[in-house]
Amino acid sequence: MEDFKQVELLIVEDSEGDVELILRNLKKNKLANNVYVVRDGAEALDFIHATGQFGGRLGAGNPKVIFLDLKLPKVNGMEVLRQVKSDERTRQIPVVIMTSSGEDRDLKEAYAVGANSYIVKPVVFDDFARLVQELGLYWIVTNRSPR
Amino acid sequence: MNPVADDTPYLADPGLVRSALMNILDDFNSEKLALRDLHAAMMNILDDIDEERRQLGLAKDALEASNRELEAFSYSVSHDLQAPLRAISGYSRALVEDYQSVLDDQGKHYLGMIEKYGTKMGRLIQDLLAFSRLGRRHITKVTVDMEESANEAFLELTPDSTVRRVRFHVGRLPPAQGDRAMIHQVFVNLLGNALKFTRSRTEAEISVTSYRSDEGVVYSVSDNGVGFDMKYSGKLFGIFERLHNENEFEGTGIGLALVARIVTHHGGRIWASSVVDQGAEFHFTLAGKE
Repeated sequence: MEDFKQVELLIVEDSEGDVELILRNLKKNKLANNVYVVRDGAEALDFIHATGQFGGRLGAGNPKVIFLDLKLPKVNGMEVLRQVKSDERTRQIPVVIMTSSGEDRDLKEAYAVGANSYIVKPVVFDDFARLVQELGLYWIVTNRSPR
Repeated sequence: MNPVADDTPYLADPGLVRSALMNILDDFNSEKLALRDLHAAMMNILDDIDEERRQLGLAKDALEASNRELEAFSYSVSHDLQAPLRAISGYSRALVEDYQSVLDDQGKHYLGMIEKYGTKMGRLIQDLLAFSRLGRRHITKVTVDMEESANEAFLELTPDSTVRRVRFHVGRLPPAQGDRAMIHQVFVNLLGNALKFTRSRTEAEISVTSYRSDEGVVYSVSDNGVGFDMKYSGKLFGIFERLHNENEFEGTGIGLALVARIVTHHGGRIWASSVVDQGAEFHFTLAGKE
C-alpha cells in the first residue's frame, strides 16, 4: 500500500505531456519526492476525500498544495475546486489553478470559488520550466498553510 | 330676435327622405365594404409583421447560437490547442538538454527548429485568441490620458531595446474618449512595431504626436525605421499579412489588424504612410466627425 502521508503536492492533470514535463522540472529542482498525480476530476475528488480507490488515505491528512488543471475528464477542475473549497475539512488546502486558458471568465470564476492562485501555463518551454520551479519552491518550501 | 330664425316646423317630403336614407345606406354599405377591405388588409399586414417578427426571432436565435458556438470554439482552442504545442517544444528541449552527448550538431539543430516553430505556433494561437476576444468585448469609454498611455506602453516595451539608443518623444496629446486597455494595446502594438523596424538604426527615433483635422484629433506614431513600400499599404492592416519575411523581422501578422479593429470599434480610422528606408508614420482617430 502506498504511503499517502508523505504527499505534499497533488497534481491533477490529464495531459501526459504536461505531467511529465512538470515532474521533470520538479525533479531537476529536487522537489519531486512527495508528489502524487491523478488524471481526472473524479480521481482528484476521491483522493482528496479519501474515498473510492483512495479509501486507504483516510487519516493521512491533506496535501500541502494542489495543482489543478481546469479542463479535465469526468469532473472538470472548476467543480473539483468548488467541492474542495465548500468542504470545511479541505477548504484550507491551497489550490493553484494551472491551465492553458487565459479566458477572463475562468479567471473570475476560479477566484470567486476560492482559488489561491491562477497560472496560465506558458507554451514557451523556458517560461514553463521556470514557472514550475518557482511554483514548486514557493508552494512546497516557502509557503505555510495549516495541515 | 334673430331675423333668420325660422320657427316654422320643417315638414319633410317622405319620398325625398326615403331616397336620402337609401343613399345614406348605400354609402354606408360601400363604406362598410371599404372598411372590410381595410380590415382585411390590416390583418394581412399584421400577419406579415408577425411573420417578419418570427423570422427576426429565428435569425436572432441563429445568430446567438452561432455566437455561442464561436465562443465555445475559441474557448476550446485556447484550452486544447496549446497543450500539444507545449509538449512538442518541451520534449524537443528535454531531448537537447538530457541527451546532449548522443546528439550531433545537426540533430540539435533539428530539435531547435521543432522547438522554434512550436513556440511560433503558440504565439499565433495566442494572438488569434486576443483578436477574436476583442470582437466579443464591450468598449468601456472613459477619458484616457493619451500621453500617459503612450509613455506606459513604451516603458512596457523597452526591455527589448536595451542595447541601442532609442530617442522617444511624446508631444502634447489631447485626452481621448475610449477604452483604456484597448488604447493601451494600440500604443503597445504601434510602438512595438516602431521599435522592431528601427532595430537596424544606431539611433532610433520614435515619436507620438497629434494634430487637429476636420475628423477631430489625429494621433500619430512615427519612426525612422525601414518603412514599407506604399504599394502594399492596402495589406498593412489585414490579418496575417506581413510585409517582411521572417528572417528580417519576426511577427505573426496580427498586430496591426488588432490595432485597426480597436480603432474602428471606437468609430475611428487608421492609415499609414511611409518611404522605404526612411521610416513610417501611423495615424489614427478614435471617433468620427463630431
